[in-house]
Amino acid sequence: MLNRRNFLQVGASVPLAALAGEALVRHVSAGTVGGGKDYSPTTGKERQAIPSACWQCVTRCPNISYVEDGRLVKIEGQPNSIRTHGTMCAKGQGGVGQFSDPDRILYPMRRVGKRGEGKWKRVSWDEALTEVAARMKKLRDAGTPEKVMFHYGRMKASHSKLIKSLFLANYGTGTVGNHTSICEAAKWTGQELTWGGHYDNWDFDNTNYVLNFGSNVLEAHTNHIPTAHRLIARLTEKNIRMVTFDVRLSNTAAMSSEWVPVIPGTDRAVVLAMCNVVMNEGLYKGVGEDFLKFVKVTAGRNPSVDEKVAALKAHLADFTPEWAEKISGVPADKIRTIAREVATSKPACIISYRGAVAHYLGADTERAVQMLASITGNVDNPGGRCKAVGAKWKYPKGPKKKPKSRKLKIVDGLPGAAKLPTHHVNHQVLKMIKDGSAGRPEIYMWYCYTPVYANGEVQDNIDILKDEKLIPFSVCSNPFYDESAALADIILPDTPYTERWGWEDMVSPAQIPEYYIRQPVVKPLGESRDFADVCIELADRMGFPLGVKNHEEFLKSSCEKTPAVKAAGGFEYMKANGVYHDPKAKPKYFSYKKVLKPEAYEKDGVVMDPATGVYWNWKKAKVASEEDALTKGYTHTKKSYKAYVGQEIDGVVYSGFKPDKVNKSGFMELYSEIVEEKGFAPLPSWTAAPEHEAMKSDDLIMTTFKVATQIHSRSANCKYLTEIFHENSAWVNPVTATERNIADGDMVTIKSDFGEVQIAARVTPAIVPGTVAVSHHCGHWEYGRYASGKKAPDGRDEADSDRIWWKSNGTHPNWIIGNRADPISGQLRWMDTVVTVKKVGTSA
Amino acid sequence: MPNVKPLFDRDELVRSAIERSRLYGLLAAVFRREPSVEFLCHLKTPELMVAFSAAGVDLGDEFGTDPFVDIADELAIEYTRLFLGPGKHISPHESVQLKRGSGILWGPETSAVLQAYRDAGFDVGENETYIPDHLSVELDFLALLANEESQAWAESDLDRTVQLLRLQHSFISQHIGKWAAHFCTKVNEEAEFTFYPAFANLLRGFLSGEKADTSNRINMTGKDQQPENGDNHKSVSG
Repeated sequence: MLNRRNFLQVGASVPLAALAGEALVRHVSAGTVGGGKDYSPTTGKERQAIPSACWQCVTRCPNISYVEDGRLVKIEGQPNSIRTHGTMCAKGQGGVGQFSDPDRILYPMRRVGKRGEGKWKRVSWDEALTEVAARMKKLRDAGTPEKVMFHYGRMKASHSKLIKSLFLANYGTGTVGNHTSICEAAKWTGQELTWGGHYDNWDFDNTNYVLNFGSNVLEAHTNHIPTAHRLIARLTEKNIRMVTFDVRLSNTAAMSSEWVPVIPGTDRAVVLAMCNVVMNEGLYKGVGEDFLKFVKVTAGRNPSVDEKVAALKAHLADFTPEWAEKISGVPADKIRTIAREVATSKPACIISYRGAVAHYLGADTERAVQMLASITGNVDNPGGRCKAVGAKWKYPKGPKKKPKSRKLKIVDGLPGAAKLPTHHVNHQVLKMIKDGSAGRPEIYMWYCYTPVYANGEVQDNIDILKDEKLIPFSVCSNPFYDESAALADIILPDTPYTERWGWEDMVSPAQIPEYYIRQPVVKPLGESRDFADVCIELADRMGFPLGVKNHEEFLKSSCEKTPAVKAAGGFEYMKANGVYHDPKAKPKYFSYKKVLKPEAYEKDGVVMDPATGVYWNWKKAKVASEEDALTKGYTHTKKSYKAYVGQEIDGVVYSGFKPDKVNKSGFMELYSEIVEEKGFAPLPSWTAAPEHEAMKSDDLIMTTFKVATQIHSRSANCKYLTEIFHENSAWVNPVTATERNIADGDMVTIKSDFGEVQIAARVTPAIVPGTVAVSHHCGHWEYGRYASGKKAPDGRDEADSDRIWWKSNGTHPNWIIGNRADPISGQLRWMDTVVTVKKVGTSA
Repeated sequence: MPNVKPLFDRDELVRSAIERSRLYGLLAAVFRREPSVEFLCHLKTPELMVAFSAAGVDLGDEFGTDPFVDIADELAIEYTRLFLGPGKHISPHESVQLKRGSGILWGPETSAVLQAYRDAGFDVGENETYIPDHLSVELDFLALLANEESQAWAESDLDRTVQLLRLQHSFISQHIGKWAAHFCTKVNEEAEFTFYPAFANLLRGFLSGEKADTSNRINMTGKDQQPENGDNHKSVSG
């Protein structure tokens, strides 16, 4: 019979060296954190209110994080932000779950056993980085740094500078992928082909009409809350009219004055028809006609405005509303009415997002929208779609001499997949690795990214990532054990955004830049480390120090180097206040109209290109001589867009629409010789997706969408958010459902060329017939207990398991969506998948 | 002045407090990290092996036969799987394990534990990476209190002794005692090897008597005051 004496005898016999006793110390430690104070409404305890920045989505809203008794208890909006005015969405508020997720990875992990077996061992940071650095250094020393592929999902602002501009550039690898092709690459490429550097800010503050093609801005957007709350204010306070074209009644469509259902992938036909109406009915006259001076609509240099009008009319002649009705299902009269409305409501904001552009030739849809905005005079004007304005930070640039980057040509898609992938074809990276003809990386490293879950063809992604013959070594940095981390060789525990530094610069809808920072609201949990700090250490270990001690120091230095921030009070000011904008700054519009002073273009190295009227700096473009520059020409000189100075129009040199990524002129190029050279129609036109033309009578088009309470792939571990949204369904119209004998709630099988999934049907008139819609966010099989239902030991109650009342975690549609590409931009064609839908139990 | 008969054997109480402190320290070390080869060697000292046997602590057959290098490797994987993840694991934190608790890391329970440390004059070290309510940290706290208790007994500082006993009693009642037992049950269910269940059972067995034992010791001092949590108990005279 055991008694206390036996237990105490153990204590008596323990060697002192075996004891722990390292966690607690005698003295109370003091610490100071920047920020204000607040009090708990329930306990009355003092809380620390620390200004920081969100990272739940790319909007990166400034926030105020409340710390009570050493823990993060609440996140709210930042009232001093001119971007958000203190608003904060559910995702941002639910971000407390990133900090407190009981399934967070707190230590570096090394796999033991087979890749994907789920067997791990904790290792020290020293052990993990010794191995990673040794492997990376070996490749660098051998002259093959490109065999390290770095793939990020979300990496912005100071993180991007530290990790990409300093670490990866000094390491020497250019084999770098991102996620843009699964996001809105078609939109960005479409903008680069037309008005230059991407991002359109929607100036809802000043608009009198909104015409929306495929954006669900009230639920999800890259500048979500800053734009959404402005739109709601405008709709409610000024009662402006908003018309949304969407395949489904999203919450944005529901809040609009009118929802116009449209067949998936046909928005471009509607837009072209609206352009037809605007031109034919003379509705371009006035601001539209004035703007045409800055628009290229023909080959060659600068015809008169009348010639441009004639060219547009000629091109658009066949794109009548009646023609568009046959393709899109939108009645011709409706097209005419809306076209007249948008052209006569001054100003109007014409907006577009994935619903319109994540399709075959989606980049051309964005070009068509730019056309409609151009001919109605709603470009870069108050109330229109404007060139984005964001904070421009100055920062330490690191070593002056960088190695010349080498890269494996595996980020721009399979051969022939896309002709102008200015943002890469990232979802085909794994296929390219499998293919091997362009080489394979020996190390595949990813950060804030989930190659398995976020791309299409999930099984293919798993199979390739698991295969050590294809990918010899894999490392990821992630605070959480997601479907991709499960297949890594080493997991480095990143901090969630609640515990790290950074400067931020996201677009300001006020057209006035806002500088803001992120700061740790609590000490990093466990041994998690900001990956930027890890990269700084890796560089030290490999013998090419970056000249920066850590991210905090980088931020402090950036605050000193950035004049506006320094003048405000630098790092200390930013820590205490979180946000800064110049109170005297005026909103920026009409940037293209700025007339350049002669000293800008009458200088050594700058020449005017006779073919385009572009002034460019041939020396900056590394051309040997002015003669060579004039012979070869601006358009065909490699990366000459970086040397752009200005655009000559009618004898005046303007700032113009500065090019980015492609060598376009300073015009708003609706006619693109760049696109033409690649085999596409130079002006926005119409070609249907081949598989849509070949659809059988039983086929449907599957589309996908986001909800307001989750982000694409990395919020399902936030329990408050997943409690709200954890299960999805297949939206299908009653007409479509009846044809297939499907009732609301029935389990159905959705089958595509890439596989099949089963999911419950939601029969609703809120979606066009012939279509089925399944959201993102669900169907996780990792990512912790809330996301996947994988509880701690089976059969035992976890503290929280009573509260996990939901039984299903939904279905992930990406298993059956192809990793295909828009042939122009490489955009993943989320909304084009041809499927059959059958009630489960129905024979094939 | 009335002649008060001593109710206790001071030397025995000093020794017993030291033993308890070391037992807490051992358990803290076991649950803090994977056992190193060096740690395994310490466990295998003859005196400790005899004590383990008497206390019903069975470290497994392989402990007697296999090379420590191999055992350490296997236990590293076991420790990771049981207590760290990634993925499904038994998170050894009060805020996660407490029934009807918050279920999250750094919940309000964690703050309360941290406050308990501070009330006792301790704090988490500046470089400490473990969350304050990790099992090993809570055990460290009890080890520290028991160690200070032994010094207080040695100095016959009964006021200090009672204070320290009261702190231990209240910490067991309000914190570790509320979740450690069912944590240990889970370890028994999930472990592949006998190592961690052995120490889990030792922890559960020992802790189950500690609340009463600290009350008894308070009574032994003759200081006639109730423990802070208001538990009813019978006075025990020596």
